Amino acid sequence: MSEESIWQFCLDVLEQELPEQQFNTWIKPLQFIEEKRRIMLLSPNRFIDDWVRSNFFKKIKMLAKSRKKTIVVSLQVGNLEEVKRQLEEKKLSKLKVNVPQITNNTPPPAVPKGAFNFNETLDKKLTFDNFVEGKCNILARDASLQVVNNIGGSYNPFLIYGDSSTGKTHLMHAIGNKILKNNPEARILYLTSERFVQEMISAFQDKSIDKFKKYYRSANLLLIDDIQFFAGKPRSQEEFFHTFNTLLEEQQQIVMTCDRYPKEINGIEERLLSRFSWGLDVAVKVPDLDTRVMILMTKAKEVNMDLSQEVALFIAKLITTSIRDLEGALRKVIAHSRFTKTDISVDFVKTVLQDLVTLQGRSVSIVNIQKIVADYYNIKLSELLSKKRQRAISRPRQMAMFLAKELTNESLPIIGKEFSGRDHTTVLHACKKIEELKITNDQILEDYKYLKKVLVSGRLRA
Amino acid sequence: MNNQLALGIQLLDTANFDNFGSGENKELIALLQQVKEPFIYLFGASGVGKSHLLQASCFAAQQRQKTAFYLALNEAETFDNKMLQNLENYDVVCIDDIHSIRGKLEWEEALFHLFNRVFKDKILIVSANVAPQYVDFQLTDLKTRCGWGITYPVIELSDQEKAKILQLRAEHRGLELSDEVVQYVLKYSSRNMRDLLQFLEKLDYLSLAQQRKITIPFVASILKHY
Repeated sequence: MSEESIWQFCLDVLEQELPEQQFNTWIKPLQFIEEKRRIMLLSPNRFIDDWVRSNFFKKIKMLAKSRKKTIVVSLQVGNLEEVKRQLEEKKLSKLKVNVPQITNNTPPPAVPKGAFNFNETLDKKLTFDNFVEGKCNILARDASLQVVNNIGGSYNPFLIYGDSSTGKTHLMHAIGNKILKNNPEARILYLTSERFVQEMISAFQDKSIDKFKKYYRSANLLLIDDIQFFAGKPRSQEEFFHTFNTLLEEQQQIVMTCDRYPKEINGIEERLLSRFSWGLDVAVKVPDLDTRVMILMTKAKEVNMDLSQEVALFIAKLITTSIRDLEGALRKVIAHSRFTKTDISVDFVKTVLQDLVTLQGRSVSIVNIQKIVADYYNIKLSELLSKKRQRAISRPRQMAMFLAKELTNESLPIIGKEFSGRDHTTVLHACKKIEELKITNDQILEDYKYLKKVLVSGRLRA
Repeated sequence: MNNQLALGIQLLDTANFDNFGSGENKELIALLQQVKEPFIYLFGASGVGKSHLLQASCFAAQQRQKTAFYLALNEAETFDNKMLQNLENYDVVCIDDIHSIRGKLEWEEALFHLFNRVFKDKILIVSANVAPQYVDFQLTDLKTRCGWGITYPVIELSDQEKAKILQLRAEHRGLELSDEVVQYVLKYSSRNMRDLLQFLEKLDYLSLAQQRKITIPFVASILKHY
């Protein structure tokens, strides 16, 4: 949906909702400038600007966001032509400054045996365009763009650190891809620290270490992923240290990622650690809810799958651990939808991810417990929930209540209610009884252990 | 005979999708047969058929003119983690029982790096005894990478399906198992599929050696010593 049609939608709604005079006085005079992912509104004077801001701006933003979640709406005093001209100028000047030229006067050195060619290992799919930004990573993203615009400048080396699966590698490739786009001649090498070590060892073995050195030191941009794996490998650190120094002296850019703040890694030499902190380090954090929703929407779109905001929100609330878990869950949902030829709804997702949910030990439901317990003792669910008092029925009922107390977060009254509206003291009594029996009665202990195992491990038949 | 391969260089000729009762695993099997999904993570208790599915996947890949490699890590003690080098040269890499190397940091690192290399453009299928979030790898990076896969529990077959598979496997061996015999076995033997197949093998051998027809008394006499 284009920015213009979103604005038109806002206008349509406002026209219907507001009295005609208000609409004509305040809304109609606003001028619209189309920008990428942004609705820029200009008010003719300060008075109108203030009035719109305090009375309608919230509504306008809400309407716009209902069409496109990421849209930004801004309001300022200004004249259409003038602002347009300013924007153009700004863009041009940005372009001029933003493309630092890389000139490689000498032909590239020979590629050592087993090494990658320049630019070969860049993952073209990981760009700034498909990087989902949010509170958790906006700083790192902005800093990465700065690096692109100032290669070899003050952000050298540039270090992105943070927990596993937070988008570090994505940003790293995005930097490489952007620089390559600006400078098709650039020599870019992406590799993991593991690969660097491996190539270095084989260079030593082949007695071709000079070739190795020359090659790595001729890169304009060196991207080294997961430097924590240098820990405890002094010889690799030594070589990396020298490569590092040469590149820095030549003002070639180095970008690194690490799963924690480098100073916290044991087994990396002090002088290397202090070099790492010469430039800029920036943290990425575990994605927040909004970001997780956006990631899901983006990923679904990449595989041409329609995902409603509601479903994305449901999954994002459920899976909070890492981006990879999020992707794994989404792929499972998509695979199941394709297999069963069913549209993806919240209920559908609930069923599909049930394993994941139960396996995360989160939502063992009371209903589930009742079913499994009834099944186990070979009685009907209706009997379990009935008022019958014979022991063959009441004992399983007590067991189910006990498990419900242990495996769910529900209060005793709620548990009682779920058992045909029993009083919470009944639940309490049941729990005490089972607790006693677990000690005195081996069979009960066995039953309890088995049932718990089945319940917490999801659908697996133990 | 042990159904697990020592070093996974060769595949069990009996492992394919046709002789694996699909039961509740239809979706998983359909996905494995396509050989398209970049990363599938299977988990389940011992004996539910994880190794069988992994090996069948290798066959499926080979039938589509792709190269495939199967490796069982429960034998990791007997070889070096250099074993994992260059496996990304195969189109499909199947690693069985990845939980067996948990806690061995060098192995975990080697596996993590293998995952990264395979993820670039190849297909990875792994199995473990529990869901990704429950494998207590020391290396968080390895754990999060496991979560990236489509995760499927391998669901145990029902007794009915097990009976069918037993009869099918017996037929391939030229044995005839009556319904009564199968029901008897399912009642009195361990119903773990691996145990059942091992029992079938023993039955085959003994019936040939002793020139006996497969009857309930015969089966009962074997089960007594089993």
